[in-house]
Amino acid sequence: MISSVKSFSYHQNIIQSNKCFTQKMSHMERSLNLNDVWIKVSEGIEHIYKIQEMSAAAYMDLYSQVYNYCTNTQSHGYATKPTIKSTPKQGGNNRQNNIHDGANIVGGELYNKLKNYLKTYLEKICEKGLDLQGESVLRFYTTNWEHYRFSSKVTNGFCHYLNRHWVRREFDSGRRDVYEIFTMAMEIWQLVFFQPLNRQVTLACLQLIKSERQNEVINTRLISGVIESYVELGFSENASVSASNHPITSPTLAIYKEFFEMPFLQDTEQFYRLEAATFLVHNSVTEYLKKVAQRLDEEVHRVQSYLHSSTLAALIKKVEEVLIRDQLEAIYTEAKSLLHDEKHSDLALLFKLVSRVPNATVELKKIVEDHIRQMGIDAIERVSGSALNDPKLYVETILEIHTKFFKLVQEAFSSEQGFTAALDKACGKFINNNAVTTAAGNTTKSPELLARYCDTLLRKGSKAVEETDLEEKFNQIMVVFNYVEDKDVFQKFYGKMLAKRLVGQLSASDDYEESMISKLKQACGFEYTSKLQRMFQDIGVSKNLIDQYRTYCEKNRLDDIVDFSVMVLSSNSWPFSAPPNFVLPAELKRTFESFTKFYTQQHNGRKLTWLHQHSKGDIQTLYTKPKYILHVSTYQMVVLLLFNKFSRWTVERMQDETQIKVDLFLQVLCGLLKSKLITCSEINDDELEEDLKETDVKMNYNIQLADDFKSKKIKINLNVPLKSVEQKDIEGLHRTIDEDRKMVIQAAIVRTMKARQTLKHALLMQEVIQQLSSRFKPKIPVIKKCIDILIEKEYLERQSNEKDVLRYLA
Amino acid sequence: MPFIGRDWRAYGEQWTKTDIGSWEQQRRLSLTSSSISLNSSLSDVFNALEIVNSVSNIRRFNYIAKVVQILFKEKLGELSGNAQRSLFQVIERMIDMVLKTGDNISLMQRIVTQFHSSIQSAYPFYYYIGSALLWQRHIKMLTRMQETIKQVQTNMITIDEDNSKLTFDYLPVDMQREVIRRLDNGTDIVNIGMINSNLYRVSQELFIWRQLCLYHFDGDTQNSNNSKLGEKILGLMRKQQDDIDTNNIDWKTAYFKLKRQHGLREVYAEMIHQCQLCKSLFWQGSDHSCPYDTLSPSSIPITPRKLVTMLV
Amino acid sequence: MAGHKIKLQSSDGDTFDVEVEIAKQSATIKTMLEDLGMDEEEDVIPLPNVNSAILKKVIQWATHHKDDPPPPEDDENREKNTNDISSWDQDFLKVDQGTLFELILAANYLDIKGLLDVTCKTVANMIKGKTPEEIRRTFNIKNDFTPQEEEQIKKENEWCEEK
Repeated sequence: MISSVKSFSYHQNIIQSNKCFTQKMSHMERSLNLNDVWIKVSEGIEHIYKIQEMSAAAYMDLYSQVYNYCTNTQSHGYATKPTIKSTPKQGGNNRQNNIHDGANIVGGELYNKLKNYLKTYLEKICEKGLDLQGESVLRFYTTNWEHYRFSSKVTNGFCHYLNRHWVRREFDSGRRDVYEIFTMAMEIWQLVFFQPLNRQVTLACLQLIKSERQNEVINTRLISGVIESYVELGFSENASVSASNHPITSPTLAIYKEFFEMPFLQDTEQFYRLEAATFLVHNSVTEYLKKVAQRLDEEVHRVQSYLHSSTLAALIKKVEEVLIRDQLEAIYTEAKSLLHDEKHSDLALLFKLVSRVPNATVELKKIVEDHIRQMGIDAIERVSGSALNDPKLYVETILEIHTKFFKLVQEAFSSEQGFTAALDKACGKFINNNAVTTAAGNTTKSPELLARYCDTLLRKGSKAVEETDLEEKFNQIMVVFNYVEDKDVFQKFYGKMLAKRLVGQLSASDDYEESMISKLKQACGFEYTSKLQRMFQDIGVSKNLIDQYRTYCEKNRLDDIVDFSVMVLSSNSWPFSAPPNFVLPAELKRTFESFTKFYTQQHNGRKLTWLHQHSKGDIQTLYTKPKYILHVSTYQMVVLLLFNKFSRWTVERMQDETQIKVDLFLQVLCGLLKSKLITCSEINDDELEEDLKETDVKMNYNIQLADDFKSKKIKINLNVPLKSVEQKDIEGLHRTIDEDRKMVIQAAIVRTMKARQTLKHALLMQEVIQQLSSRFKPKIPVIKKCIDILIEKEYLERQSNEKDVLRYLA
Repeated sequence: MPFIGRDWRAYGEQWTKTDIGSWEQQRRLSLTSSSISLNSSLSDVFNALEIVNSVSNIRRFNYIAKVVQILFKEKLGELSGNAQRSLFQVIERMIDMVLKTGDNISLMQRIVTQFHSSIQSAYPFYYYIGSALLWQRHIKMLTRMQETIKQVQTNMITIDEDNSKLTFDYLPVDMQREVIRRLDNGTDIVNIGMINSNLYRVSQELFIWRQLCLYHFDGDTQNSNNSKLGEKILGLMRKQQDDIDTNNIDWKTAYFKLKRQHGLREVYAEMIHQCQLCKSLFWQGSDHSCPYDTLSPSSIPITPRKLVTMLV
Repeated sequence: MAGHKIKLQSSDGDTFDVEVEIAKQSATIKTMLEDLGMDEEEDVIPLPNVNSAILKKVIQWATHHKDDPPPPEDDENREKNTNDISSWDQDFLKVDQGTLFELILAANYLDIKGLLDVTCKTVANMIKGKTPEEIRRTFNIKNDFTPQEEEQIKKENEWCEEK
């Protein structure tokens, strides 16, 4: 502040009575004349408000003047005797009156004189500024303010005795229009200087700020001076009087807010509204956004350098509203094209700005979601022709899209939660519903293809050999898996294919299998993979079992048994069912019976069902040279072994002898005919070369063993899966899925109702859908149907008076 | 209960400021940290806590006075001869102190008078305090004390007739007020008001009484009876009186009504504290060499009444 | 800053060199130094309301208390705890009444809260528990009430102590 100063010309009368200023004496001449005191004090004040240097002696003299005046005149008021009331009980009804007794009037007189002096003093100065405008009014206002403020501080200092006692006591006695001298000085400034001038002053400030926004260099000191004064002028009386040390007034920002901040914000709004409109005419939205970011930085800097910090939030909010919120439509449109052009850094800026506006990112998220979904659908559409039967292509197409947009969300949207969710939503949508699923006619195609993809990876001879590579692929599969709605379908297909891999010993590695299962377990919980794990266990147990059986055979000298191994699978865990019966050839019968005997000895009460459709064996041709070894399925074996009885058969008799179901039998027969192990005189070679169909083989055709069978290989694998079986499997799977789902839904309904006892229909639906969402998306009609079934089974009933309320029946 | 002490700060000893600004006592006697067992006699405890010497410390005077009052009012029959002697010793020292400073005379007078009547009431059951001889000795002693005090009271103020000196009466009102607002008992303020007309005015000032009410009856006092009352009680009072004016409460009346209802807050400049770790007793302002001083030390203040129940 | 001194001048013309930090316990002097922005000034600060004897005492007190921590916020309550006077202050205030009151005036004039507090407490202790007549004698105050007035005040206050 200003402590600089010119010559010291103030003459002070220190000497006065202080030579032997004993209290007793001063007491004698108690009442110091207010006028005498005031003459000295006013001289001092005049000096101070001229900002002239003041010596310690002069200051202390002023302080002492005030002190002596207050302390010595004070008791004066008590000189008159107190009036003592006659009613003894009521301690002091007139106590209230003593607020204004003699002592107080004396302090008040000095206070009022000071007040009037300052008022007159300021009024005189203020006149000179009334006609000023622009920078000159600012200069006038701030210069005088700084002088006045400084001088008032000093005046407050030497009048401190008045503050400490008289003001304090007036306040404690309930008076609320008396302040400490400095605050009183502020009050006067507000009245005399601020009120007539604030309009011009504020206007001039706003003009300067506008110039600065238009890139002119301004003298910010002029503004900050005004701001300081507005802030300091705001004070309010404290209501609380409990503690006597409590300050009398506390600062508020009322003046600043009303007389500067409000008009400033209005001005800001106007300025930027115009700027936004004109700028967008000539520039792209992206350019505009860059400008906005820059403007926001500028405004922050503005508040920091010369406004009150409390304005920051309101100002920024205003700028955001005008520049961003009100331009959102244009910005959203730009977002779409930026997404299309994959301009991540521009998007990042856009996102940063849009997210400043409450709720504005909702729309942006929707745009992003739609875009990703559309891109996903398009990508799959492009490959849909081949992807339907190419799980690898299908899954990799999905992954490509996911990876691409995962990166986008990371780079442009800082992986903000809402955008990650948008990505997830979009992926969920296009993965479960796209050209491929439409072509397949059901939404369960995705999990099926995914499971198949797993199968190709986990099967022996998979091309993805590298272990780390495979692990990475598993993780990618899990990414897609998490988006798949019908997780139960995946489970079914996966289980089925795992079963085949295990039974057929086609797995590339147990470790891989386990790793994949544990990932599924992590994603869906123990229950989801429990069957898969039990399948694994069965295989292990079976290995031991076979060893035991071998020992058993040796012990019991059962050496004429065919070399034989078996897997015992628990029927609950495996997706297999018993095949239709047929007649086992004598060659095998002994072996089967022997094992059954062994097994039932060990596990009494268990029933073994032979899954011939999954069995296979080797037989050797003794009638050829060289002797070939044939890998065959049980059915093939049964058919071929017929020729140990007779060398020629009619088809009808063969079927009759084996009792294999006709259509299956014909398939097997066709296969064997094609392999040329057997021949049929009614079918010529040409027909054989072409596509031989089961229907081409008639029941009266004659079949015989081809004695002249020749092959380049000694070991021949005839055990290729039958197409029709596979096809039926898949259909069967879908059927069982629907059945299983019904059971699961019913279980969920019963569980919920048991807990709730009564529940509204709609709420039950909601609950069930929510419960099952991790496994599949139940269809509403199916749930309704399940409820009906349960009502029929008397698990539930409809409340008689309220039809839409269900009740649980124990 | 062990009392461990080394540095029992007591008035009358020389104090010097150390380099780091704390205070150190010039040691005249050093109490070895002998622990006093739970069975130790009252006089031992008094010795360990330097009760007798502490009397001359104004910060401890009121606390000790309270302990003494409780002892002879309620526990006289349970005190051994030795303990009674200790008690007399303390009272004698208190009288010495009063003689020296002139402060607390009326308190002392009250104590001695009450003690006298306590002993008197034992007649003729001398065994209550010991023997007839002891009884007589006590009565004699207390009578002498009463006389001493009476004499002091009359002679107390050697009136300084030197008129050139500044007196209380001639202090500026602001300063008289400063003194009066430091009084915590309304009776003293009423008495000041009876001195002359100037002081009457000051003593009637509203906010002096309001402050007094807030001090005694508003919230966080150590006296748990009074805690969280304050404004509520005032509200109660307002209900009783019909003409309620929140801005115009008769605080003087309020003070005396509340005093009757709730008693006054008791505050001591210094109290005996008990260490939470080693359970030893010590004067608040002094250190105690806690055997567990590795832990952060904490102690709780012991009210005079609680101290007495611990001792007897 | 440490050791930097200023000159204080008593009403009877004696000058005392005092460390600034000690002198600043007087809020009056502190405010003045801040207001006038005096730092290196050789100015003498005249204290026309304090004589040498008292100023000496005041400086002695302030020197002793220069490192005191600032008083806690609840001094509203502490000011009534009149026994809470340190032994040093007790010894320091073993002075005649005239000096004691002059110290009060000086503490008030110089705005030294701590000193004002202990001096006022000391006077309050002289009042406690005394009858009006005893107080009058203690302070040598004349009774200016008429007998009727006195009777009236007594009556007014009678109810205060009734049980």
